Amino acid sequence: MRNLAQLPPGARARIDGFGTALRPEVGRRLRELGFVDGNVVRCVRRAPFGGPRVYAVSGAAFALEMNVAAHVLLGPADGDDGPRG
Amino acid sequence: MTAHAAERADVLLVGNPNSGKSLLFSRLTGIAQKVANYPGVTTEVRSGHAGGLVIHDYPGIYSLEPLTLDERVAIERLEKALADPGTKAIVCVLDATRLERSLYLLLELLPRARAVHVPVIAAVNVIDELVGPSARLDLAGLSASVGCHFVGVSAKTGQGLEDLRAILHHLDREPPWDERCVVPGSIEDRKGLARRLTRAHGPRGDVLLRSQERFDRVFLSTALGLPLFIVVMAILFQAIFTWAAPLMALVKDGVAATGSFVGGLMPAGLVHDFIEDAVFAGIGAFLTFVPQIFILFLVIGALEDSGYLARAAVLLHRPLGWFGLSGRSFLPLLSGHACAIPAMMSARTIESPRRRLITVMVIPFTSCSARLPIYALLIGGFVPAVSLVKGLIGLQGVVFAGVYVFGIVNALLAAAGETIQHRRRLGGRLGDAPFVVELPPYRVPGVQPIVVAAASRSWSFVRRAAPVIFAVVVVVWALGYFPHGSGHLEQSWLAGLGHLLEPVFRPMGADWKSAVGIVSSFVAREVFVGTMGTLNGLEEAGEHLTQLSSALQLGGMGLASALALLVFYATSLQCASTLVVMRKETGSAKAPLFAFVSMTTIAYVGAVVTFHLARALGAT
Repeated sequence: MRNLAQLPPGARARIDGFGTALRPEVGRRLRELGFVDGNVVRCVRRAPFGGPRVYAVSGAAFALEMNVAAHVLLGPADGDDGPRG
Repeated sequence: MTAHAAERADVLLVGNPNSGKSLLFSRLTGIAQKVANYPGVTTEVRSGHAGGLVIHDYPGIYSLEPLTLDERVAIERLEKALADPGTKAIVCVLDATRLERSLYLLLELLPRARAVHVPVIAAVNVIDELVGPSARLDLAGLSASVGCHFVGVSAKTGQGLEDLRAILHHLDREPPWDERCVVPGSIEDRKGLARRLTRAHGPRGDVLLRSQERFDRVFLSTALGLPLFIVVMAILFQAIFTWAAPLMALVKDGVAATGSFVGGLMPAGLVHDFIEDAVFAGIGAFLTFVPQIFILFLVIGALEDSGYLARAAVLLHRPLGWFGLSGRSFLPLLSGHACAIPAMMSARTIESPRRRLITVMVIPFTSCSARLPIYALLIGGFVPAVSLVKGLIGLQGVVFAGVYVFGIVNALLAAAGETIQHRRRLGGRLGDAPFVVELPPYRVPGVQPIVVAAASRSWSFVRRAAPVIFAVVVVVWALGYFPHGSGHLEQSWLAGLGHLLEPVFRPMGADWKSAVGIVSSFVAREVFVGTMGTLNGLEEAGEHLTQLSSALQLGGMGLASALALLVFYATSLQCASTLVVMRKETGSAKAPLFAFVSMTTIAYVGAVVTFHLARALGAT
């Protein structure tokens, strides 16, 4: 299964749950910020030195450490929610 | 409900971080604020009066479910206030350009407020930025769908504030909310409702995001982002060193002049000496730093409000992560070059409690400006003024820069060491928060809010540090004054202490005078130059560094001893106020105790090694 850390800049995908290794409180916070199942997330860009990546979700932008993004699982294909990029 | 509670009318101000909540708070209440702190956490609730109301500004939160200890304390305080009969209303601040995300907290808050019959007013902030084709905000539609007041405001321009005040002053405790508006219980359903509401009544978020991404293409890129970061940091350094210098000199001279004036009114003797040399020197010792700290907070405030600070944190997160720090640690480490106290206070924005603790503990390694006169004395007086690379760079300048780099390297290495320690002890990332940072929109910061915030933070510095610095200066003065009075420092208790401790400091090449200087600067290192001046019979040593360094050379101090002292002062934690504030910021005496013992030990060993190495290499 693909995860958010593998999503290349510019691409969109639907969120499909979290990995079991992610602490439940962190998963909860991510859901509160908009990383909920079925929502479309777009990878905006990466930071230098392999640092955090920027994701757009729910009309806001968040920088996520790669070891957090790797626990956010993605659905098989692009979403139909909102404009395609 | 008691009569007393009925008289009180509290309004709770709640909202996401970056929603402009604090700015709205100072707009509503003015500058007179009271700050409530809670032990062990950085949670602060600010309170201020607005008409007959008392407004309480709660820390920015994303939801009512805490992730860290700080959030838990903030949310518990909020829930307690919600149950208080004196609470008249909640103002939930939303960001018009981030409506979907902001609505979530409102939807979470509404059912809890309704359960205790406290009305909620949604203040949709930054409406001044809603311009252009994407700008739509149907407040009436939102109000009808959600069942609470919606009012559009701009904390920056003041737009809509009268409407908000009018609503607040005409609220009854029984809220006019619509029974049909049921808020769903699960995160997913609330998120879905927030999305539908934004689609139906709000601006097109994607368009607003796209404009911010154009800036991010520059500020977050490797090719342009890093050079721009260096430019921004150079401006910050310039501000705290060059721009602050005349102001600092003005304050210093002003306090000294007032001191001699007041002293001149008194007959010579103990009281005169005490007033002029202890009281006014004590006041001068902390007041001198206030302009620099104010300017530091001013620049930090501008960077914060412009949205750049979050980008800088993203840029540096990975490199600082190699040392166990967060991207948000860079600002405290940088501020530490002015003063460790505001730096420790600015570490509060670090998302992870563990990384914040480590950042706070390593900040004193960075060369604060109180060390600057000592560096100037030792480098200017003992390092040969030869030029390198065909006269382009002087050796003294290289050593000067080297001391600063030395401090930064020490801080990073110490952070790495403490991270390893923590991992071993806690075996993982217990209760820690990951780096998930919102990138707020880029904004042109307003002047008034930045000045107000910088003034309030500077005042907070004065309140925390001033009593300690003042007390320390008075105690050092007393030890140097008694038992024989002014002009007999060599026979004073302080000198006695120096002679007693001389054997301890001899391995690093220090004589008893340097020992006195070192011992007296354990409470505040800025007294070193003055003490050395007095011990060598020079008044106003701070103004005449060259004379003092010649006196020291005549007294037998050589390059090796000077370098050892340089290493010692660059490394040791000689500042009582730093220890006091570190205790407050970390919530326990363990952190300052550990930092003090370990840094002093490292400084001592480093100085001894430097002395013998320099001797071995032929320095005198």
